Amino acid sequence: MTTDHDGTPPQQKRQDARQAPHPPILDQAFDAGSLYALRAAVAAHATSAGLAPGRADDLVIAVHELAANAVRHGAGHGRLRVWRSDHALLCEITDDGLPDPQQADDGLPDGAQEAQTTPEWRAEPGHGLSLVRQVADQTTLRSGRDGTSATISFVLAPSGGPPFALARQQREHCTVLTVTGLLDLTSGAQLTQAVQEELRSQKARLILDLHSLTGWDAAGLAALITVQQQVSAAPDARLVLAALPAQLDKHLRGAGPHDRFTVAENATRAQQKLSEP
Amino acid sequence: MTISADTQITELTVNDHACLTFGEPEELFDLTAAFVRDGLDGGLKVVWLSDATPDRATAELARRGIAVEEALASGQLVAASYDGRLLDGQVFSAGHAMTWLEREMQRAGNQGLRLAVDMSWALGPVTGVEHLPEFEEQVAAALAGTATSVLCQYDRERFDPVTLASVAAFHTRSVAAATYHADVMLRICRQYAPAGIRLAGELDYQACDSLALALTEAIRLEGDVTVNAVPLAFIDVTCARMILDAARGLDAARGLEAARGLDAARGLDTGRGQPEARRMILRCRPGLAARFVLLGAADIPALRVVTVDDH
Repeated sequence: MTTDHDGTPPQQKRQDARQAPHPPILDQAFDAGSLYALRAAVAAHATSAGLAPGRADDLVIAVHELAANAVRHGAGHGRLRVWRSDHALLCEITDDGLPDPQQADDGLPDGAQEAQTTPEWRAEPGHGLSLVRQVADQTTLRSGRDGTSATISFVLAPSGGPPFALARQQREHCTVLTVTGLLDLTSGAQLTQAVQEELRSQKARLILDLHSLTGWDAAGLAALITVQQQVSAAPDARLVLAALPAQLDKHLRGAGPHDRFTVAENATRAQQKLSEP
Repeated sequence: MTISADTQITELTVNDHACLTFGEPEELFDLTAAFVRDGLDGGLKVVWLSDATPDRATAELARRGIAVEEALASGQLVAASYDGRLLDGQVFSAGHAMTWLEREMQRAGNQGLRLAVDMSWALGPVTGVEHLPEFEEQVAAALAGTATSVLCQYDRERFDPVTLASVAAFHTRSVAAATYHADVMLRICRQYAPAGIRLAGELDYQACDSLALALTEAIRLEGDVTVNAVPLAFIDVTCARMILDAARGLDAARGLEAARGLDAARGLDTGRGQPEARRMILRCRPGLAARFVLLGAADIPALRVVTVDDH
């Protein structure tokens, strides 16, 4: 059985990873006893490759969850390889298929092992794979008789991007907060603080315009969820996210109810939505 | 998984001469705060001698929810240095120290006295430190039939096993934090003030049995549950979900209690009053707080996430 989660033919994906132009910058075997060492190695390489601290943490949890899946639900051990291209870090986590023969034989009738395929890794909401999909820019997962292989990529932010800025504009019956740059731990805290201040006024009507957003990490995602939580808790307050990037939309949907956010294509359309009853 | 067989700090009573061992300052402050809190709640006079300045000592107690200002103002609580009490400059004499203790016991009178002494003074260049076992023996004798309890606090990393063994015999009880997991990577122990658990290091699914036990025991107590994860550098999804599920359990329990309360309001006596809204207070660094939010923390009414930046 082969499963693929982003539509690219699996064979092509496998070739993409293995035909990367450079040798891997990290190639490490792991089992249950070496997950800490694996996390430490990934953190070191992520930082050295230029991932921002928040994104490096995201990469560490993503690799850990995939490796833990290989240990718990796969062969009990596996291998991590990390490549660096000009634009991204690509990580491949593989397990070796069937559990150890001794372990696989336990409780199985004679010959049953032949018919057994690698157990699929769990992908339920709120579980490890779900979080991986929230934080990685791309996730591919394949399960087959030869084991399970997961590939995740983390885009390296181009240097010289615009710094974070939060511009406030008062429009008729609403306030537009325009976010520029990267939404991370620090800027996310500034955003939640700014929204909290807006909510001091009665029946606040807010538009969060994200058309100039250049990137985000898990803390940035959490900040958007927190902002919506603040608005929901304030009496008669409303918030519309304008120009929400499709990738960010996908990541937010992994974190809870789909109808948590009201979205619009742009600030003008958002303003129309706010004027609707 | 390890669970210490020592007495819990919350189980101490009058007359106890207890030997507390701790592994780090955070643990010392936590256990002392519980000792002080229970003493103040019981109306006893409470004295804590330590090598921290009185301001630092009382600030650490205040940080753990003790109403120190009122207690200091009324004289019920005293936080002080050793000098003029246990020590005279850099000189220790068992007789001198006992004179001070007996005077304190007299002053407290019927009110009763709780005395906590951080014994780290004995690690310094103090003349007469060899009389420490003699002092501990005299304390044990002096407490019989009185309303005074004494908690001697020893850093188990810094005191040598021989010294610890030589003084242990004079104590009525041995006290330590309940520990659910302790190795080089991770420590899971009970926190006493405010009540809950403390997580330090790197926590992944391999320690989930220890975490489950710690959470189960913390929830079994009454009141809010604090999960102090400030010293935690990493948590994986399995363990984060376990903490969130425990918080959801507090919500569910509240729902059940509310239903019983409704029955009572309708005249169906269930023997219970209005439900008490229990909360889980999760304290952690901002990066970990974001992970909990992505896993659904914002949708759990009983959970309050407090981010702590200045660890």
